Amino acid sequence: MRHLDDGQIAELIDTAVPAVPAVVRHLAECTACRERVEEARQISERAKAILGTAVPAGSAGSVVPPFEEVLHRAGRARVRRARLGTMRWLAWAATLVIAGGVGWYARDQLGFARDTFRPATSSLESAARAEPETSAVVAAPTQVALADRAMPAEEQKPQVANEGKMSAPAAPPAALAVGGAARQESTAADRLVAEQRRDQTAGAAPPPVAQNLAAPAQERLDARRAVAEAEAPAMAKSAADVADVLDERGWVPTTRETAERALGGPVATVEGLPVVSYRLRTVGGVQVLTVQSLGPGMELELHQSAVTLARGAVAPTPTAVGAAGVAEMHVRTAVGPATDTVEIGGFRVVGRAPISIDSLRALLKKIKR
Amino acid sequence: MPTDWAEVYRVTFPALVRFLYRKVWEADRAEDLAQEVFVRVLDQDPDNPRAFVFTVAANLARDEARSAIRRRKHLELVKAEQPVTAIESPGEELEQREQEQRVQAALAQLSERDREVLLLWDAGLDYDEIAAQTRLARGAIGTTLSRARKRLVEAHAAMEGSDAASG
Repeated sequence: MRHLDDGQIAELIDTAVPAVPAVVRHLAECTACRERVEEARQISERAKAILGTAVPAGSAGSVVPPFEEVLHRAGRARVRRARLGTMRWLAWAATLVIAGGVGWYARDQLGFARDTFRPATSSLESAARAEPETSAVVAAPTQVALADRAMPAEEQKPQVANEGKMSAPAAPPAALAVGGAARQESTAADRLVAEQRRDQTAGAAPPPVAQNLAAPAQERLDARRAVAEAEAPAMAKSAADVADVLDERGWVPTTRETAERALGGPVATVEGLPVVSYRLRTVGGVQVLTVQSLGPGMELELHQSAVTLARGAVAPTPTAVGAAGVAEMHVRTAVGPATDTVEIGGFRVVGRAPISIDSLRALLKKIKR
Repeated sequence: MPTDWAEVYRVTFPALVRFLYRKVWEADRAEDLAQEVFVRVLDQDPDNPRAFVFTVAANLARDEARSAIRRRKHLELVKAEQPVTAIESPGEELEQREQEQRVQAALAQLSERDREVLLLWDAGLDYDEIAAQTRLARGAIGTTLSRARKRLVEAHAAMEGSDAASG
């Protein structure tokens, strides 16, 4: 038999299992292996002794603490783990809620911004498209400009002659100042239709101011879009401003009866004008939008809400509209129809139509009370 | 039949503390870790509870060593800020401390595997248990252990020799 290797010798020393007979026989015959076994035993004892000098000081390890300590500690660990698990779930839930909230808020904000710009842009574009043909009728930014555009050349003469005596806000409304015959027309609708026809006739030979509008439509569109974009942040800064601009949002078609029930009072309409539709909105309070026809392609919108609601959130003030004109109000009125406000029986009614401000005021005076 | 952890605890705890002490070199910490080992194994029902306990202990000690390195770095910074105080240890305690440092240094000269096998052997595990824990072949345990013991003794003797020469 070959000499024993280190593994066999180590096992011989360390295990209590009796060595195999062949190993025992070899050890009896081989002095060298016996010496190696003896040497290994001494090394093992020495190693044990060396490690024995490195034991914890004091009673650590020699006195076994009660097992109950371990059980108590395990119980605390379980509670801690359970609490941690709950906290983890709560953290997840909170994260989801926060993420949802932020998303909802952002969506709302983006929705406002999107809707804020959409009508403005479409209004600009439609205005630009319409200007070459009907600039004198529809998109009148100021009363004076409207008067300049709307009046036939011969009718401008008396105005020019009296120019020194006139102040801009007090200038007679162009459409209503055209002739006494117009005032005698039986209904407001007839008068407005006649007014539109006259204006179209005047548009065939544009007066000096209207010549400005003959500039390329795209150029004017770009300029107005730039103005709209510059004004946009200021407009979107409060919910009231946004609600003011976004009156199309949330409207639902309804009947007059339902609208009156929701409003808690009569729906305002201008006498003699056919009603096209009633619409109801409950966002930020009950609001009713009545659309009446002024003639082919012309509509009057009456936006009615309770005075308290309207003061807080919705309607532009009549003073601002009347004194400064529609140009200062917001994007839509800057390029679109005239707007005016009246208060009737605890309701605020904001009227809007593609006509002059004075014509609109005259119409609003005819609202059924 | 479920493991009687109370009995395993009673029998194994001292060896476990020694085993852990030679890894973390702090008596309180070793005892604390030994209890923590049993906290972690209580819900388990292994085939060989004793070997399982040492496996968990070895893993805990490894984690502890990592955090000890971080702690030591922090302590070195704190010590650097503290004034040096005189050591008031009696001679015997000082001797014990030096002896322990020699053992620590000698063990540090062994390879990770040799050290692990040696400490498990010293903790009383048999060859099969050591093989199961270290994932070495059963036949390799004797050779590894023989080599580890020899290296420990030689390294320790070298430490003593250098201490005697310097002292």
